[in-house]
Amino acid sequence: MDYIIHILILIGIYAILSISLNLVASAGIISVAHGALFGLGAYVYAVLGATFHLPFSVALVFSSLATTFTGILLAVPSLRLKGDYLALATFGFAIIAYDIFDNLLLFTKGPMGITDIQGPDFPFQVHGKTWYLFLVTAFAVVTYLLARRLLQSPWGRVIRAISEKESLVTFSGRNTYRYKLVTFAFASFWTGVAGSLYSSYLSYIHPSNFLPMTSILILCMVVAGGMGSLTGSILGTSIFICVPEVLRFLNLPSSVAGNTNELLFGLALILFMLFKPQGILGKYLSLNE
Amino acid sequence: MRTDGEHDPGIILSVSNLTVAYNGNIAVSSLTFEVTRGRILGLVGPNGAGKTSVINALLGIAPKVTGSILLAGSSLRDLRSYQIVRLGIRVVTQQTQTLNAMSVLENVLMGMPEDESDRFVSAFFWKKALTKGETKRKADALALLSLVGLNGDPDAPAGGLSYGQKKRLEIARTLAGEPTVLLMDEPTAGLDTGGVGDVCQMLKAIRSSGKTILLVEHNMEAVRDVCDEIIVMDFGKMIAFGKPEEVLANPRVLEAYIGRGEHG
Ligand SMILES: Nc1ncnc2c1ncn2[C@@H]1O[C@H](COP(=O)(O)OP(=O)(O)OP(=O)(O)O)[C@@H](O)[C@H]1O
Ligand SMILES: [Mg+2]
Repeated sequence: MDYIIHILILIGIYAILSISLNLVASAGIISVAHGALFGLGAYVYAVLGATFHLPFSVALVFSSLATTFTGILLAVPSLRLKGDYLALATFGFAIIAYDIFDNLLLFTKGPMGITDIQGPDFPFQVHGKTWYLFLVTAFAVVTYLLARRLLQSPWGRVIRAISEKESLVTFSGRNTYRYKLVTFAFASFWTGVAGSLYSSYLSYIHPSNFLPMTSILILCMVVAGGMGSLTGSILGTSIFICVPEVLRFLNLPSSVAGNTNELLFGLALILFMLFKPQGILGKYLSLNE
Repeated sequence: MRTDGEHDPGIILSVSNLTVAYNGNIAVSSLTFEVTRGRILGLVGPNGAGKTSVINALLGIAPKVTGSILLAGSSLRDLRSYQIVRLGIRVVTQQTQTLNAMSVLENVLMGMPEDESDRFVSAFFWKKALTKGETKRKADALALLSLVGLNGDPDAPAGGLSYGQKKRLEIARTLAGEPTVLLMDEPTAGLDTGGVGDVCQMLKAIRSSGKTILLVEHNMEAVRDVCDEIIVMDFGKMIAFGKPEEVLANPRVLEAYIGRGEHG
């Protein structure tokens, strides 16, 4: 039971990430930096919580502001780039971020990681994990509802149009750059929330939690579920969280299991791109034909 | 061409000494012309004459431009494309541009000017007034669809439309922007005779509503039918200007066209 709750908590946290990244993808932006921003959020929370003993809610707010701000700093130059170049620039950010987590010993303690990160004080003395599941689910539901509201609004219409034909939106008198920047900033905010939840839940984080691969993993969740489909993202997240767990049950030696995992991710991504580029639940192809 | 800096209210668009180059390859060279408010000015010439390059320069998307472009007296140079559009210029580009994954209605809505309901925060703080605005926008969009003769399901994806229907959809979207000046790059290209006639009727109706059109057109019958005046371009230069029937009888113009086996 404990184990299942653990998996559900992870799905909840990653759902916050994939849903927010889906919004970014809905604007036609392929970002491979979401895992890095997530890591930043986790570290900011950890440092504020473990070193400065700030309460959960305060640390979470600061962490989210930090990821929003960093997301904007990353987006301002990167969003001038198109398609593949934009993806590469964001991936560069993911690599640099990992190096910083690994080497900025003063704050991150490098490969030793940060321990004893405190979580929220739950109102009742119920089993902590169950409360965590409620908390994470609540945040995931809020993320989902806000994202859905956005996509269905006239604002969402504009970002969908940007993803299909940006020049057409420009020629309707709209500053597409601003729309994309706002989208990226909003999604970056949620990486801080997810990072704080992750950090406080595990109470111990280290750089290998936020490898550049993590950013690719989150993108895979979005692509598999279908860009533009939020429920698809939740489905994609569940698949990508559960598959490694199933592999673990097969009792493969850990060296094989890790590689099998990455191999499957890569393979899944290629197969999706080849046979169902719109994802499992995606209705349309949002990238330029 | 006026050089005294005073703005003549009858002239909506004034272009002088416009030069457009792509990597040293000159597409438009020292072109000077004025567009009179409420008229249809034709821009004709053989393939590669530089017509689309003129439009690109007006829209701020040509890479290397010199010269001046004034809309109602104020310069468009140094403005970004979306800012130029906000001043009242809209375009139907040579390549058909529709949002194929979105509905026919949404395509028209996307042509409407940005307003409060498009804002990020409006998604969360939706006010009654915005619902009214959205209802009105939808009604206006539907009216435009029937104006251009698209009477099918407005909620069907635009990707399913035929080529001719997409051309009509583009006109509806462009009109949704309530432009003062329309730039139209070969709106009749690829249409059958009936379609060309329909588009000509629409252009005349647009003109009678007080709007100004700069029309790039290869179909000479359409040009004779709708244009008040035309400019003939060849190799980036203006080779003739005047009323269509006079200009199209000009031997130099005939040579530019027929001499290179062009339609005329
Ligand atoms: N993006 C570009 N890069 C380089 N050269 C270009 C580009 N666009 C146009 N040109 C060149 O500029 C010249 C004018 O092209 P333009 O498209 O303006 O002609 P046009 O009159 O619109 O022709 P058409 O009737 O075929 O549409 C041509 O020689 C063309 O090859
Ligand atoms: Mg052209």
